[in-house]
Amino acid sequence: MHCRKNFEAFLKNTVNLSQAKLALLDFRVEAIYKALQADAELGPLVRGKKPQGSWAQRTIINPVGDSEFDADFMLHLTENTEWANSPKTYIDKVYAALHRHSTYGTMPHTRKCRCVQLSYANSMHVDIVPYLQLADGREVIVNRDANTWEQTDPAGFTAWMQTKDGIANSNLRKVIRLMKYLRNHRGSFTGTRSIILTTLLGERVEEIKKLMDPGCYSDVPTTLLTIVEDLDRWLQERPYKPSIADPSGSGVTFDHRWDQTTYSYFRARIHTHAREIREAYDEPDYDRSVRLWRKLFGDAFPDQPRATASLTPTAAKFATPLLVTTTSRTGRAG
Amino acid sequence: MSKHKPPAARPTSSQRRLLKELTALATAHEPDLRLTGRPRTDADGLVTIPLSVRTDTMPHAPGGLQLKQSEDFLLILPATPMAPPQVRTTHLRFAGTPHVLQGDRLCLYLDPTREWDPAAGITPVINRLWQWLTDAAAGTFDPATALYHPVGGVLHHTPGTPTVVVREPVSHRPATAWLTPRTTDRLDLTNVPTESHSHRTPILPVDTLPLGAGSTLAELLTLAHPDMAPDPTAADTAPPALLTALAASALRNPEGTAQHFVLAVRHPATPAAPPFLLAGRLSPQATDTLRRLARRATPSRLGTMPDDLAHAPLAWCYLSDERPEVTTRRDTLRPIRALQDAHIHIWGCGGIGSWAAEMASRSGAAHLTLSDPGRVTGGLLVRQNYTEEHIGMTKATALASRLRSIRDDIRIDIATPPPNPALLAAADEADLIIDATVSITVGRFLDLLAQRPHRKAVLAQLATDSLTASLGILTLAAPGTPTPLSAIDHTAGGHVLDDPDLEAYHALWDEPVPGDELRPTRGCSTPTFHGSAADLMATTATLVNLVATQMRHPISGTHLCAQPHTGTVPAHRFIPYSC
Repeated sequence: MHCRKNFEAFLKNTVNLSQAKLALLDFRVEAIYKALQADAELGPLVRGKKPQGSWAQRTIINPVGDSEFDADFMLHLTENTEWANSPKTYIDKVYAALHRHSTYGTMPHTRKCRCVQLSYANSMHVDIVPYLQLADGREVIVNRDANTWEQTDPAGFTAWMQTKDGIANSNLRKVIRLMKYLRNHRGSFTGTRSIILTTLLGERVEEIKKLMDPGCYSDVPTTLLTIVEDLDRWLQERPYKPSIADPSGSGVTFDHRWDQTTYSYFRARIHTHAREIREAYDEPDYDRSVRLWRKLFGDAFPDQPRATASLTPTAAKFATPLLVTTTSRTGRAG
Repeated sequence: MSKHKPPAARPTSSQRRLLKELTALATAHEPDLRLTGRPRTDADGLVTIPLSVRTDTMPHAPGGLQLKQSEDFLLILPATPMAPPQVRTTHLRFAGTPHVLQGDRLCLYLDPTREWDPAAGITPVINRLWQWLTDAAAGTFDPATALYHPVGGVLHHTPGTPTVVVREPVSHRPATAWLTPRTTDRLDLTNVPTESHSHRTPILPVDTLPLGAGSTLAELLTLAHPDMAPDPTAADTAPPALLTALAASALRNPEGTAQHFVLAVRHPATPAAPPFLLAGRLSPQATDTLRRLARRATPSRLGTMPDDLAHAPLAWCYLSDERPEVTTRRDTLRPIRALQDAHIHIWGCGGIGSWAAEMASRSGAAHLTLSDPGRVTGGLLVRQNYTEEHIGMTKATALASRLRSIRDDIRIDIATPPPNPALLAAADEADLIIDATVSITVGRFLDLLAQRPHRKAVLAQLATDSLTASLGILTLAAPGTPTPLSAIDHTAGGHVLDDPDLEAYHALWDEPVPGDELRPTRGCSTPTFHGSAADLMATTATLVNLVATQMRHPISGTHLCAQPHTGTVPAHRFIPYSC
């Protein structure tokens, strides 16, 4: 069975990052941004900020247990021609600005390959990614290890995601979250980075598919089944690690972010999951179907109270004679 | 200074291509097809080429068109390949034959938009001409259905004229009718005046007009009365009835107004059948001239008529002939026919009810009773059939206004909403009660109606899903079955919820999950539902068809349906109710 309601509850209560945490992220990123703006040396270069990665694409999920959850944001900086030969200077300058700050200077902060990471005590860190639009028009971030620019097209990626999610009736983002949950919480296909998973899942969503099979993206479980089976077919045709291009069209690939071993593991796990999803989806018995979904997603996958035809499910406190109608709203409209 | 002749018009590339194909065809099929002259291009860019078709091998049947051994035609190629070529005769011998317009034009294409393929070349055109001649000689044209009218075709239309709507019977004898402007584009023809500004309009029976009705008054009089020749020596001959009636009407209509007239043309093959109608108009200036003349005496010969009147151009109005005796409803074999002449209550005029009422109205329902105290707001326009003009009105009032604009002859009442006790009698009087409210209270009221001992009405509850408006549910209680609709719905719900194959329909019995409903405005606004006008119209249409299907032989039960774009399988399921 599809168990659509179970999936909605699972996403809402277990998978999705809570609204409270999202609000906290917003608040903290805003505070960091204001601090960098106010910095005497870096502030004049700061032009803006925008969310990046899973936070921006709304595919961020709850972390496992007490693990940290994180958010990336791009710090839009003006190009300083004096640093033209040393892109990593931008990361150094952001790091230094945080280091100087009365609050953030005392918090753990460190320079990473493409960002400056600021860690909070309560299981959260924020990655600040310097981002520039060079005089020649290129949109770039910094690779500190190689001291080079890396081309990026955040608007292009967002547009790609919106298009694909639109085709999938807004179910793609939910499926990506479910698959990330499988990876993070169920320990499946570890090693496959989110950007690759997102790209591979998103690239499977096609308009023509919907025309051939109109219901294929109709709800979350059906979209999950459709995309994962399509991904499985695609992977099975490719025993060797394929090149994964940035779907934004920036021209870069994500090839360096995994290797043949990781790929083979991912390919095998998706093959298994495709079968498991199909089994749970096609199982006609509700209880057995829920058990199969739980086998995949774990015990957190909820067993929804089953509706009984037109009987009120809400009158729990005060027992009433059975009425052949409902006092709660049904999913009907006129 | 020397004078230069304007360059001769040259055929377009498409005309050259057709000519080349025609030449090749004639060469291959001589003597059946022969080109008898050179192509000529006129100032309008039309290329005319004379040709001859051998017809002596075509079988002739009694009543069929008499053909010579070979027949000559003019093939006219338009400058653009987007329009089909025309075929004309060089004589009037074919006038009066079905599919001959205005005496010399063969109608090879009944609907050029569907029959003319610009890429197909000239061969299909010549084949059509061949087939036309074969059918004409064999007498296989049916005058009742062929594109043949006693006026020699349907080419009588002057751009810019209003359409004359005819719904009332038209006399076979001379009569006076009335034209009343309804909009700038519409004039209604009635047998009695309907407004103070209705104008007298003569209805003039005339014999067949195989050559058409002409484009001037002189042409019309000549074609309708061949003896109406300009003969100055016979000035005292009685004027023809057509002219007399035109003059008499003009005199009684206000100065400076155009004089319309309707020609009722007899069909030669079926003289007792309702006449074909043509509506024409004489300009205000020409009509004023006729008025001045008529105050002294109506001219009896064209020669006695001033030139500006005789040659005054006639405008031909498009005529929407909606007389029952000549009009065929196109939906007579469809399920919706069951609603024709019915009295239908529609409770709830929202996403389902407003469309259901419109469909019932267009189906020919005689009497609708609407109820919905809600008001039309702008946000509803994306999915209900209201317009900007309706915002602020109650839905029932607005819908009644819309339905009256769809049909003049429908009776519409507005009832106070159920559970008004006055509506209890509705079950005994109406043919069908549609509840589209999703109101529990109204559902309870319907349960009461179901148990009325003399209930006549079929009771139907229609709803869609709150998430997409693409699923539909119809619960139907047949007359003579006292089971409440809530019980039928409950039983169906149990069946559906236990059937994994029907999981997509579970939502119709479940509470909406968070996010399924939409709060269209901030705050504690009433949740409403998603779905577009297309979804609602389509779902309602399906549900109304299902209701109509059951109207003749109703069986209590529940229909579930889904629109194709949902991919839901099964797209339809009926769950009969059994006690």
